[in-house]
Amino acid sequence: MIHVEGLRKSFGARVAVDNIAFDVNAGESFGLLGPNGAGKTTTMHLLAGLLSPDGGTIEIAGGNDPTRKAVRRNIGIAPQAFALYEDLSAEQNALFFGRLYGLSGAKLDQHVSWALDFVGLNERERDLVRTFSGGMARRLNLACALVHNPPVLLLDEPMAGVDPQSRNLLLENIRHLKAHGRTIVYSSHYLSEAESLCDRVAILDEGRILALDPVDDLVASYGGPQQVLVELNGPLPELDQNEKLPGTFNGSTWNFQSEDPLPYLARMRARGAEFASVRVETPGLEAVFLTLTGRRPRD
Amino acid sequence: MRAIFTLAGKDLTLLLRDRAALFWVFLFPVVVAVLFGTMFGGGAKGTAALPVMAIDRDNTQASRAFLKSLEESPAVKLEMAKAAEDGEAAVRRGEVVALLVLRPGLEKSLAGKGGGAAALELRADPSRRAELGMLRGLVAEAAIDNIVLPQPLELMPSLRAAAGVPSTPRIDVVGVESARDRPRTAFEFSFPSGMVWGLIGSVATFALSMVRERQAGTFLRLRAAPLTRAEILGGKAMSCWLACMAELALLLALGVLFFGMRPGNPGTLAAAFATSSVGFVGLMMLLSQLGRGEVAVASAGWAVMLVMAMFGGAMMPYFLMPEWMQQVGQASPVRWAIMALEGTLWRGLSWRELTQPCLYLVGLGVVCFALGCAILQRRAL
Repeated sequence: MIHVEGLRKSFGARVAVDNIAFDVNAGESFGLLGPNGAGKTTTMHLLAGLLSPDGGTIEIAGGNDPTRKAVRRNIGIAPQAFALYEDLSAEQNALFFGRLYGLSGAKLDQHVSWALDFVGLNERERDLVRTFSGGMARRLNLACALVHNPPVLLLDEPMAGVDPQSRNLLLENIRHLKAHGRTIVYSSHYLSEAESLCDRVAILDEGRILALDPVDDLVASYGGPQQVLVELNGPLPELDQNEKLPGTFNGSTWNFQSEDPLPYLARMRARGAEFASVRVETPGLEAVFLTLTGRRPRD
Repeated sequence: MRAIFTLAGKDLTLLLRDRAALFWVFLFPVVVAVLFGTMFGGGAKGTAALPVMAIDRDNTQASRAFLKSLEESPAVKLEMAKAAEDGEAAVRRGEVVALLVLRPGLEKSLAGKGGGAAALELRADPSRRAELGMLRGLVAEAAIDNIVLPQPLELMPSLRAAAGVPSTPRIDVVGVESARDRPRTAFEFSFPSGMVWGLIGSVATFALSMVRERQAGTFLRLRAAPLTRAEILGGKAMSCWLACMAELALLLALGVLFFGMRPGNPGTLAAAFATSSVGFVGLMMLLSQLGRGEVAVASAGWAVMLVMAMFGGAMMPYFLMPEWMQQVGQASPVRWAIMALEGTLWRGLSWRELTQPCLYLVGLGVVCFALGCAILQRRAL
């Protein structure tokens, strides 16, 4: 559905996107993850035809130039900013954007009604956007991207500034869209959402793709071993001088990394140690991110 | 075009929901027009009396008594004309409401012996209907006061009608086309300024709306839609143009309905309105690119427009300005818009005479619009 090859974009001396390439299959959910300034939004804008690339090619839904009208009709974008008219109602916003995509009459009404219902705003459709919470505005932002029923959705930080309730609703919406065959390109700082939503993820930094794979594969390759945190009940038992256990001891806390922690725990138990709690932290995208970029996503 | 009208419809809906914008676009111009019109003398040009010229061709005791009665009326400011041509010229210039001609035979007419011929004639600009109606009443009143009646009817005015004596001589009204080289009322002078203030308000409102679209991200969403850049900017221009035209039409309607304005040729009027709006739409596009934020655009925009208004004659009458200011004012679109609007509202400019200000306004609009679009394009890349 989307084919990107050798894509480059610079702003003056600053290289925002540096020779990136990826494919997104129809019905796939693809994540673009990276810290601020990594090139996610520039990539999104290039895909939406908002920017012209300095080099490379983009093909979306059979069209090879997203600046062309025919290609844009197949794309729905929910920008990072709310991108809504605050002094218009939710319905007026959706109607307006629907008209821009060539909808009219009963078909327009039908699409608007569906989109507002889909994001759970049909009861507030007559209310001005200025009266909406951040979460409601985000949901309307998604509705306006969906109103013309595009096969490709570009969601740029769709959860930014959203309350937990709206976040869950939005996540549910996006999962539903994915289940019904929409191709979704999703950029976010929130790695947990990307993990749960995306089939494949590209980690971007300084305009380049550092890794691109399914989430599990990325974690297996770059996530590192599991982290085990043990809280002991009582004092640390005495160990033989030759007996070596991994990790560090800090008072009654034992912290170590291992893909298979059970033998170590069993040895400690055999020495008479009592465990108040044992916590095993599986590495996720956060660890992948840290390994690849040396930074956390919000840095 | 459908996309352009969709975009314009959205902008006009937003305008109607913005009270501050409504004030600057529609209310403030009315306040300026009415306030300055009233300050400069309103409809009566600073005097309550109707200026009238008269010429006495009857030259009898009765005609002189009639003129004396008219002169004594506080509602009339009477001046004798040396010749009918002088009086008509004064009517054309709008200096007097009418030239009153006392025809030979007035004395007989006042005595009820004049037959059916009219002994009084008012040569006036027929478009000054209200003043003319008032003047006819005052002339009739003076005539009645000087009717010569036989005894005892003179002592018993109530019997006049019963006796079949004509109480008023007939008054003929002859039209004199006004040269319209000066406004009939101060409102005709103040309304073009008010209209230009409305155009300035529209420029400020829509320039800021461009900035808000950029900041809110809606402009980005418009660019992502299947629209050309020309359609997006055309929609913005169309909405601003329609708002300008609506403001001009509102002030014109108020002027005609309540302030005695009588615009001339509807065709030239429409051309002046349309080209003034085009000029200011272009200005809006350029000013909207003077900064990236609302504060920057609002500050720079108002600063530029206030200077233009000051030198263009929207703050004080152009003819009161020192010569150097008038020279500088030639570059101000405000000056040209006032010229076009005054030209059609009361100067009676011909199509040919109107060409220069209209061409200047369209040219300025096109150049400014192109510059604004070029800056916008450069920033978007």
